[in-house]
Amino acid sequence: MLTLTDIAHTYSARRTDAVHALRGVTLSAQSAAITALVGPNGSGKSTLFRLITGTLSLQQGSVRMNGDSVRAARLGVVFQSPALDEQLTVFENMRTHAMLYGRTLRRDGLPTDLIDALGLGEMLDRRIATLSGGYRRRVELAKALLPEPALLVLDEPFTGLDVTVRDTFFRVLQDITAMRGLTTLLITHELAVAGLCDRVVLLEEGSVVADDAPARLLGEFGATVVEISGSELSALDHAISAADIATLRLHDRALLLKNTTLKEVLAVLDERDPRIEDMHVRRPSLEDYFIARTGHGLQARDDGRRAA
Amino acid sequence: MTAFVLPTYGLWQRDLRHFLRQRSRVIGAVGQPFVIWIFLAAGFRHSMQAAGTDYGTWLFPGVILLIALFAAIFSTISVIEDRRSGFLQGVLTSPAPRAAIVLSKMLAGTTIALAQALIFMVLLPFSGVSLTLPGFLLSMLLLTAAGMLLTALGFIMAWRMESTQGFHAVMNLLLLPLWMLSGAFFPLEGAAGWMRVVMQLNPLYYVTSLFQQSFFIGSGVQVPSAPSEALSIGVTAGLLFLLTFISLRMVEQK
Repeated sequence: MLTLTDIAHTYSARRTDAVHALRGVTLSAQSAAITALVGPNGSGKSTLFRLITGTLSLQQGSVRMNGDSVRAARLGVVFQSPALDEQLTVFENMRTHAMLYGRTLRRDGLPTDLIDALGLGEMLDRRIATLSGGYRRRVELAKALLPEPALLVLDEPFTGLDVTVRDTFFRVLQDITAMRGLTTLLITHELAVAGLCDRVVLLEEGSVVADDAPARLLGEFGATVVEISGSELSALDHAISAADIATLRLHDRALLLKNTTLKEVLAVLDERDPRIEDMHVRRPSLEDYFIARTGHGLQARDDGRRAA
Repeated sequence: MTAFVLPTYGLWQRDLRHFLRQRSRVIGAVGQPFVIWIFLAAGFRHSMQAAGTDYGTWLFPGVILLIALFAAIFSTISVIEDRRSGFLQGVLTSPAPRAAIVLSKMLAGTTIALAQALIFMVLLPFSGVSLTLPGFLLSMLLLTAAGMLLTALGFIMAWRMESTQGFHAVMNLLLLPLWMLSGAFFPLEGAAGWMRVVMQLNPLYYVTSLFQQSFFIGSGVQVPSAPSEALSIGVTAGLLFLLTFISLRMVEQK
């Protein structure tokens, strides 16, 4: 089990420019399970990643793996931008990586279960430069798992992948995590994938705002929610709240009605006859939860930061 | 031991594969010293002599040092490329000692320099140098030291640099003048007074002098006003130690 206790980190070029990237983060990730670490840009995910992987020195707190310090020899890392050598073949990349861990790797010594699970059997002699983004991720994952780590940390591994490839990659990750009993920490801003993980930790401005299984986080929303779009949401919100249905303002033009059914909502709308543009029933998502906890969406926060 | 040797060997091997798989780089690396020596030796044939001998003869060992210099530049530029491509972060998070990064780079730059120097030596029969076996062995040993220290210097420059263009600019601004004022291009004896002082302040001057003296063993060519061998060996060894030490300190910092 990976345990992070009271981690704080401050970047400061000068005393007046101090940026508090992490403010006392405490969390844990179980073995044989995938824990998603989610947050908008600037929430402290990257700093946490660098502290866990040892590329940044700890200022405060501790990072422990099964009660011991995280040793590089038992750590597998998948980077946002694959740490592969494009000039070398898949096998040569793996062999070089194994040598960094003090191991020699022969062709007939490759872990066949891993190679088969990742579908890399036919790719071993292909140069990385000729592979698609999806296969590069697979090679990166295979490379990270070669030294048989106890802890696997993945930093935004789905960047640049289409949904189909992303889902395939995630299924492989789930299988390998279960098969090898790995403690897998997935750093991502893809809430759709985070929702499929065993546990989700939400990070906001350097602090943990939620840490639980996705189903438990979404418990307050009920099995279904109703999303209504329109231009006069204040009046609508008032009317619906009066009918004892909990609401959540998603953004300027959309309202989420929690823990309700379409029948209930239609009854209220019939009475009040408000102007609405669209209405649909759906399952609650982590994006809804994030808005409920922080007052803004993950995507909206990222866009805002980019615009700024 | 394995924890240090295998990562160093793996990274060294990777650098050599890179070199051999970039056809244009191989052609450029092998062809460039040929072109430089042939053009300069032929161009100055009747207008210039150095140390009482044919200019082409004088320049020959200097061009071999230039090979080491270019090999060092091209080997260490990959540090910047590796950081940009993401490969370096994989090495930094592995348990490999960071010293392996420095040593593998120094060894790769030196191996490439030695191989290029051996290829360049096919021109020996046209150089006027009658290379003896002791001269060959000693000069290869010194070329190894020169390759290591120049690669360490390149590594120090590249480690904190973000752009390959900037690296090229700095290396051309620093290393080429260092080579030109090392006594490889022209001997100290005939230079202007102020330039002699500058040359004697250039640490590469002592490396070059030692290399030339070894290369010319038994060929009858004397290096005029050469510094004492003890001083040259001391400066070469000191420089190699200092640059390696700085490189190792730099990679250990997070």
